[in-house]
Amino acid sequence: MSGFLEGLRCSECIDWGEKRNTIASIAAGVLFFTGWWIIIDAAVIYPRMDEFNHSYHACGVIATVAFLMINAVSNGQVRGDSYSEGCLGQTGARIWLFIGFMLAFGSLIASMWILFGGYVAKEN
Amino acid sequence: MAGIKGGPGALSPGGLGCRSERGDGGPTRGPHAVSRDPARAAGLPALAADSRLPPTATPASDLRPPGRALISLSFGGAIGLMFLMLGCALPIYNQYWPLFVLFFYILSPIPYCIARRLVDDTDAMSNACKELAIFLTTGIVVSAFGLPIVFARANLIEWGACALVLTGNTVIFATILGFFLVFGSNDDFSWQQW
Repeated sequence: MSGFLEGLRCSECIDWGEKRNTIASIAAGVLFFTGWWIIIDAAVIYPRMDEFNHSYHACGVIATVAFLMINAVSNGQVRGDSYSEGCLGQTGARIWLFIGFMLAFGSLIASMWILFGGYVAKEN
Repeated sequence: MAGIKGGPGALSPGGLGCRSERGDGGPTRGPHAVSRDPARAAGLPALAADSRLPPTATPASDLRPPGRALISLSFGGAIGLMFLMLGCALPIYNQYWPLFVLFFYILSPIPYCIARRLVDDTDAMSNACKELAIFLTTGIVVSAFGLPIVFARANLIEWGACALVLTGNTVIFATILGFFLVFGSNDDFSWQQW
């Protein structure tokens, strides 16, 4: 039973080949912009503050900022082996990436908190 | 799984990310095939398979496939715009809000064209630029689908009008994609048109 999961390596099952980055970009674009249009839809349908507190938009904004921060640094800059150092150097790139991930996880935790604290708890 | 392509290592001979997108380039490149192929064989090693194609026979036979593709693409564009205008101008709807998706139609080819103009070689930066352009283009396409849905949910337009506009969106974006597949896959695009 210990070798049960060894046959489930999905990165070798699907032969992505040269198209991996393109498919990942398309999937990321669909998810990101669908998320933003759902936010816009909620803001349009519930314009009043007592129905939908519009300060909750901060989660989406911070998540977008984090997404841009994380994608601004490349793996080569963090490992230190890229041809150009960037304006912050390797340590700066690592700190930038760290802050980016912290903002991303923070916005995720904040949105979960809003879901349970602002909506699920109020219904009960 | 291992028998399909002879192992996970032997994927593709070339190193280009966009190599397999150059689909129907054979007949449209007929008159330029002789002068273009040595340059392309030198600069783009992954297209060596294309440079081994013989130049096509007569100029007259080369003009018809691009003309046919152009006519069918323009027909597709006209049908798509017809659906959009039906969604706005039918008497039961009579709301011109959906015309805002025209903004997204015009915006959608721009990131990919800018990326193709800016970076032409195959290092990591050019792939990142191309992927950013694909991401932004996907975002614009999703926005063109999301805008009529948000309008319909906000009761600015009817759901029937929304359905017509979404159909028009699908046809127009298929047309733009077809345009890029048929006409955008040769290098002449960046030299002659600009």
